[in-house]
Amino acid sequence: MMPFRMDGVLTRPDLVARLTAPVAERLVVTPLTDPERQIGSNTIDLKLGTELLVPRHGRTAYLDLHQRTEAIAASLEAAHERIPLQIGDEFILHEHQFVMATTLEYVGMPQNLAGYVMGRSSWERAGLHVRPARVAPGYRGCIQLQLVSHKDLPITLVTGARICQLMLFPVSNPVSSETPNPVRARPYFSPILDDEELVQLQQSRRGFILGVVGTLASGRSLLAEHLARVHGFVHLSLSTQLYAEARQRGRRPTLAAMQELGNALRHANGSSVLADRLRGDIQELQRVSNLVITGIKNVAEVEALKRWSNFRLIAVDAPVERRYGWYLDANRLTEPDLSPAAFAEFDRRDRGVGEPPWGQQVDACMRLADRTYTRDGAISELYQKLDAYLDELRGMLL
Amino acid sequence: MAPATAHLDVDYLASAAIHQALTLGDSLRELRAREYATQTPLILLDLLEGIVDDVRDQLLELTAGRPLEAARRMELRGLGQALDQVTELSEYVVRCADADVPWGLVYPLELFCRQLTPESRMIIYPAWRHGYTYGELMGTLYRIMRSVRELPEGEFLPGYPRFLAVFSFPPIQGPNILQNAAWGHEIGHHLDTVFNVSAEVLKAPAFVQRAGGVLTAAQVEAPRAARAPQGQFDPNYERVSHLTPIVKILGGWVAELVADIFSVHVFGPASLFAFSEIPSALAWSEPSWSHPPSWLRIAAMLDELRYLGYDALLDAAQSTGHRAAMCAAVGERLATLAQVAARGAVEPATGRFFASITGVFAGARGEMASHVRGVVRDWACRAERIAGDVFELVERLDNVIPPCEVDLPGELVGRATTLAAIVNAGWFYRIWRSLDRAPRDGTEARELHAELARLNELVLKAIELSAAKRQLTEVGGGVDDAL
Amino acid sequence: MIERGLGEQSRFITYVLLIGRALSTLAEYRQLADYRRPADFRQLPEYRQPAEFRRQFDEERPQTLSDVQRGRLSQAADHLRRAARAHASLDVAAGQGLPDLEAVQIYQSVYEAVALAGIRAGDRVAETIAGLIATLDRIVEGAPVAAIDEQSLNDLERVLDTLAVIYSHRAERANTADTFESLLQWPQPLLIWM
Repeated sequence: MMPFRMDGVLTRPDLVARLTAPVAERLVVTPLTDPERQIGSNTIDLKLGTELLVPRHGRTAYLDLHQRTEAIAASLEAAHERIPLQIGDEFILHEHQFVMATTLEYVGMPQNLAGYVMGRSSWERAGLHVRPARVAPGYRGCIQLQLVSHKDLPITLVTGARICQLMLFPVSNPVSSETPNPVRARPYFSPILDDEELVQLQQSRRGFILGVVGTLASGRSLLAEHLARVHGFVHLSLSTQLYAEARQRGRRPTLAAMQELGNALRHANGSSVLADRLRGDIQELQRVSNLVITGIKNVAEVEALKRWSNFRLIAVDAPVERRYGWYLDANRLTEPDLSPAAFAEFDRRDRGVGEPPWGQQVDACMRLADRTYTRDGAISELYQKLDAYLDELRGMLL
Repeated sequence: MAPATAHLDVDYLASAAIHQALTLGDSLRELRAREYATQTPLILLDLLEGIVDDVRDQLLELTAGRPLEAARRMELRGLGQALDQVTELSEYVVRCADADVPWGLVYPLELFCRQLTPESRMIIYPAWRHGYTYGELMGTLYRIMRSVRELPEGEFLPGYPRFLAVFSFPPIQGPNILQNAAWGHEIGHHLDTVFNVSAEVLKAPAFVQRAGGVLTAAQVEAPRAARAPQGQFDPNYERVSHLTPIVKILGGWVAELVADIFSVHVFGPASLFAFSEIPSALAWSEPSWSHPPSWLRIAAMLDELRYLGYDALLDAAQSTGHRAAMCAAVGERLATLAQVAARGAVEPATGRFFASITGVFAGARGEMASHVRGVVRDWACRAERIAGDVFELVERLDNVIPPCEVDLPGELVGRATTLAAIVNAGWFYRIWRSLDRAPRDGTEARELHAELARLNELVLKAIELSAAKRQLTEVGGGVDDAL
Repeated sequence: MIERGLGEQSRFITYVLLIGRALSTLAEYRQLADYRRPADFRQLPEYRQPAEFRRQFDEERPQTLSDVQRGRLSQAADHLRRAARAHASLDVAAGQGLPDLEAVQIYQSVYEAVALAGIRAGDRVAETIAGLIATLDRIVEGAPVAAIDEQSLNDLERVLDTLAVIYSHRAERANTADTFESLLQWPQPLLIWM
């Protein structure tokens, strides 16, 4: 089971040397209260920490880990209870019960060391099993412990008792991490929440998501309506949130107002905020339907959506003079006095000219498209091309 | 002469009070069955149950065997109100079971307070409404008990603590350990209660003389006479109406300044930094009915930091490398606060009323400080006590290691450190690395927030581990939690 | 920030009990006068012997106040004395230190009780309070009911009853007042904010 070479395991002299090295390269185990007893021939004994995560029976039917990230987190929280303890306090682990804990000691692994934590044989024989767990190079925090009683007798756990041991071995090719590791000082839930392939697995059984991006009045909304009306897609728009925001602020949803609001939101919360906020809806809806998404303005939004493996981006464009006419036809009531020059200015802004990184970037988005169409005349020609693309996609997915 | 006949309202009063006592007794027994992380809630429960039992017995004795006279009405009401207060106090027991309490901080704080005042116990609970507060329960409990049992003044129960401090904190700040250094101020109130400093200040001749001027002026400036009840006129009543608010404000301000001065002795510069971070503290530097102006409080704390030797500690010219940069950053923060204090001192206070009261304290600061210094012993957070630790601890923070002990070169076991050193190391690191700068956009805000969360996690862990180390290595180093 | 509400509340509750017990004791004191030794004990049931008669009336019906009862009335008198002394503590110019606010609160409560009880004291509230104290002192010293002026006893009971009600209301409000506007009005216990 142990994937390392036995002659690579650090022995006591090496352990002591690592523990007393300069702070930048040190193996950190703090506080070591009894080094004579804790540092063995090739392991370091660690104590049980002061917080337990105990499953709460009877409150949750089952843990569904194949759902939205937020829902998984909520399920896990509801299903467990955090119990704070003092040093020397006891906790009775009942037969075959599972609890999560941490070591009392805080461990800091240098990049050139890895380790395994496992139970001490004395406790194992008494009935406490500490599931072996990998401690990665660069780990910072109290080591997460999964404790199980594997006998038919309850056993008393005592905080501060040496219940596990850490075995360390050098890493053959240390890789330094660019992002700082999070500090894990308390028991926390499984990082299954970060497994994106679960989401992708879920999606692979479903349909697909089409994003439609394009220049102003090129026919994006018409394409989306066609997909909804004829092909039964559900239409989601990143702009819906902007309309709601405008309503809340008492502003008319003019072109200028929408551009401004969108930029403000992206600036305050990150450029992909509108796409991120739709994530939950996308995950729910695509269980039952294909989706079409419009209102995409920024490259970050495209990248966020492309994380869905069944996402495809369609771009549509047309000459600006023709688009001006189409725009007036559609918006004569809300913007009756829009001049060609003003429309051209909005169009430039929409495409990304003079915009900050969190602003409109339709040109850049269009460059990321899987398929680009140019609308010359009637919209029906575009519909036919879109239908053909859908056939192509369906064939690929089959 | 009132005949001894039955009176329905008195009967109802007695009946309601008896049932309240019985219900309260049951609910206190249920509370006893819950799990608590320390013994203090059980101590409080003992006292509350004792009061309830006494009240119940007296009520039953009053009603037994004879009809109740109408004259018993107020006695019954008093006993009923005693039960009402017990009901309110039992809420503190319930709050001890709140999951939001940062127990990693509570145990070391109890250890710390127990070292300062061995007869103290404490309860800490999250309170959304009031923020950081302090209350003293044993005084209240003894008053009720003595009154119910008709005991003489000054009698204490053997085996029970003399003081039971209750501290509340805003739950949103639970993970913000550095901000929780604001507890230093509340601990200061507790020390004031134990050592009776405010009362001494208020009796000191110099202070009375200063305050006397304000009170006399208030009497002279009294507007048209306040009408006494029933249209009667009492000159003393009028004077009282004008003097009482001023006396209350003076008493309140003395208590707050004494607590501020104590807080610096407890946590050093960390107390001042935590105070200055509270948005209302700097933004509203004007005096209020309950608190002196912020600039006066900052000035008092800065004076005390100087007295404790922090000017010398933070003299960047005496240091090199990282330490010099750190000293410069922290020193600059203190200098900025000193400017706030200086600005406030020259700006006129709001209105003539507060101006004259503020004037009393501008001169009285030194006297208050000397009273505090008179009771502080060797536990004060003098600069030299943390000087040897704080910079080493900051280096640990820079390497993402909890600052729970001071590294000794070549040694496996570090040197134990103190709660004050750990908290100050956190603050020094935060100021040195500008982690409290205003972010330029949402992305930077989230990055800073993550860094601050990590810092707080490390500092909280360090506090827990430092206390654990003491418990595991020193004889009798644990929290004495036995009754 | 200090939570003062609970301390104030408990203080007023102790005053309610103190005054309430004094009122109960005054009622018991009045009942001492109800004691009438029957001139003809032959009116008693036949099975009662003279000795039993004596036990019933002498042992079961006390003729004087007990030590506990006298103590309660004495405490009530001391309470009123504290109110009377509050006058002097207001004279700050004489360098006597800051006014004792608790005593001042008691003084104002007693002042209002006297007024609300309908005793026409005019401008001489202090004398009225002194009169009430004197009545209590005489009772504590052992004066029989017949020796106490009925009007004085009624006034005393009325004032004490009103005073207890005032304290009871203060106790109820003590932990709920949360603004400083009340600071300038009839003194009320305060909850102080940070």
